[in-house]
Amino acid sequence: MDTSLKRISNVLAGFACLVLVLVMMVTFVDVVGRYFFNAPITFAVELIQLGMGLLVLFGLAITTLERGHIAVDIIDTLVPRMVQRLLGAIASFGGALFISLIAWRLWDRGFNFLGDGLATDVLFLPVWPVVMLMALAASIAALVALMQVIAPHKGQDI
Amino acid sequence: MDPITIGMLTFAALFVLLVLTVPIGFAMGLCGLVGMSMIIGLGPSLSLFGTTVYETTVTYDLSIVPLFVLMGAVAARSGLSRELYGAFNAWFGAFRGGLALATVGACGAFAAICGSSVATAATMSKVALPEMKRYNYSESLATGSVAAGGIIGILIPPSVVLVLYGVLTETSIGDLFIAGFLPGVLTIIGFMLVIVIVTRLYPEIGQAGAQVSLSEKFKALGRTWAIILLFALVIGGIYFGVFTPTEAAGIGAVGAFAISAMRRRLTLANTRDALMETVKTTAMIFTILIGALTLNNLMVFSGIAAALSGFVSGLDMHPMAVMAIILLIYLIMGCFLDALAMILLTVPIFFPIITDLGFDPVWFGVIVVMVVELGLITPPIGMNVFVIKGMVPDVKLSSIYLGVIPFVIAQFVLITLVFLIPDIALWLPETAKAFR
Repeated sequence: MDTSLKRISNVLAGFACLVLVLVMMVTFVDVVGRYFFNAPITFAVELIQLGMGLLVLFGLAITTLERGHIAVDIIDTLVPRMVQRLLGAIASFGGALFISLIAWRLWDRGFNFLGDGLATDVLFLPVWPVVMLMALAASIAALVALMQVIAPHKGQDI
Repeated sequence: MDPITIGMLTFAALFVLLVLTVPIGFAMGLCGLVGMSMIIGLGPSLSLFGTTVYETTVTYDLSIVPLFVLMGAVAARSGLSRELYGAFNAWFGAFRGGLALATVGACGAFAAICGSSVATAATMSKVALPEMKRYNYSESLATGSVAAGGIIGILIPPSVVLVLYGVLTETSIGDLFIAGFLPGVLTIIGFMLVIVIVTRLYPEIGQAGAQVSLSEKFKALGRTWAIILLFALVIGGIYFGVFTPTEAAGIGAVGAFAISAMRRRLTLANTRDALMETVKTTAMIFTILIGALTLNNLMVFSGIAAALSGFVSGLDMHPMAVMAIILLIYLIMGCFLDALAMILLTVPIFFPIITDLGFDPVWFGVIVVMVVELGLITPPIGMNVFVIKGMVPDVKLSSIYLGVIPFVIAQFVLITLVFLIPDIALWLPETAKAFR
């Protein structure tokens, strides 16, 4: 596996961790503010929405890299290693295809939002930069899956 | 081709992709998308797919998933399991098979702050297995009780699997959580009964521990106050309608961090590991969720969902018989599939049939989770059994499966009970309605 791709995946995951902490804190402060001080964060929902988008997509590359996607792999133990490798390549190709579609749809949406200037309800934050970051992260994850089609199947070399 | 044929072909293709080990989320998504474009055309189906991707990720309510996963991940690293085990041991240790009783009890209690079975089994086995080895418990009883205790993790709220069931079927997550509580407690009691019976038949497999004074018992119980408080806050808040489940998840996650910090277990490494694990799990879950929702669209558009429920009601079978067949299918699939993936894969297919027959969606959710739990400890793919095998490599896989057998029987009995008496699941959510 290309080491720079690995490094980028890790950096993205690091950002996802920060976003996760942010989502948690905003939820917490919003609830405490609402029930105890009668002062909710008016922009909590939109921050969490955008945060969720970043959290999910920024974690996609590392999950794909570590083959963290669940598959029905009983057949893997029953076939010779050559077939295992072939199956691994097919599985990675399926992943590359699906994640590429996700990335494409997100780029499309990002450009649409750039065009119509969609902004959040309270803070008027523009949405397109967030969606384009999501699209970028998905593109990197797709690249990771694509590399796995060609790269040796690491987990099964035992 | 008419839409229903397209739908059927898509499912055949899905099956092939799954056998070729394409990850479940990707396989469902690709099949849903291809089937859809054959019905409504490529352009519209791509645009619909874009909406599914965007609205599944950029959404407020679904933040409940990473937040509850985080709560469990932090709790698992907080060392709380030791105190729970100590408390249950103080109360039950003096009975025959006492350490095994304590294991099941502590697993159930840990499940109250952790929504994952595998995490519960992994965390508790680190504490319970060495202890049971020290007291010469048989390998089968020791490993069997941890593996079985772990499966309570996905029934007792908070439960990630029930959250996803709720999202997919638009069933109230609060109701599902509250409905899971009583069957979860019954599972703990049932498993404890199993240990009492087994150790009565074979007294040599688990000896009784020393008697503990009453004040010691309460002292041990007192040390678990933080867990009791967190559970009461999170689930009590949902029950009394003080918080939404999503808000409760945020409070639970912060609470888990606070407890971990108080116990000086919130090291940089622990925090990073818990966050990283949550990020990866979140990406994995949402990929399957996007796939499942894409396939769900096809189910609706192709008319397969309606045709299937029409077919089943045309069979003129007793609804209970249909339900029994569906549960049997789950039971068999559970032996091969991951619990979470299985629910996301099958619920879009079975749910319309179930609601058409007039069954309660909350009850169905609880019972499906109970059936899926069984798959975690039955061969050939018992996730929990594998987790424990990983912890104690010198114990044979067959000894673990042997130890699990009595619990499997108990779980069968419990499922039958909830199947015949739906109120076991539905009574608590009904009482909660008074507060909302």
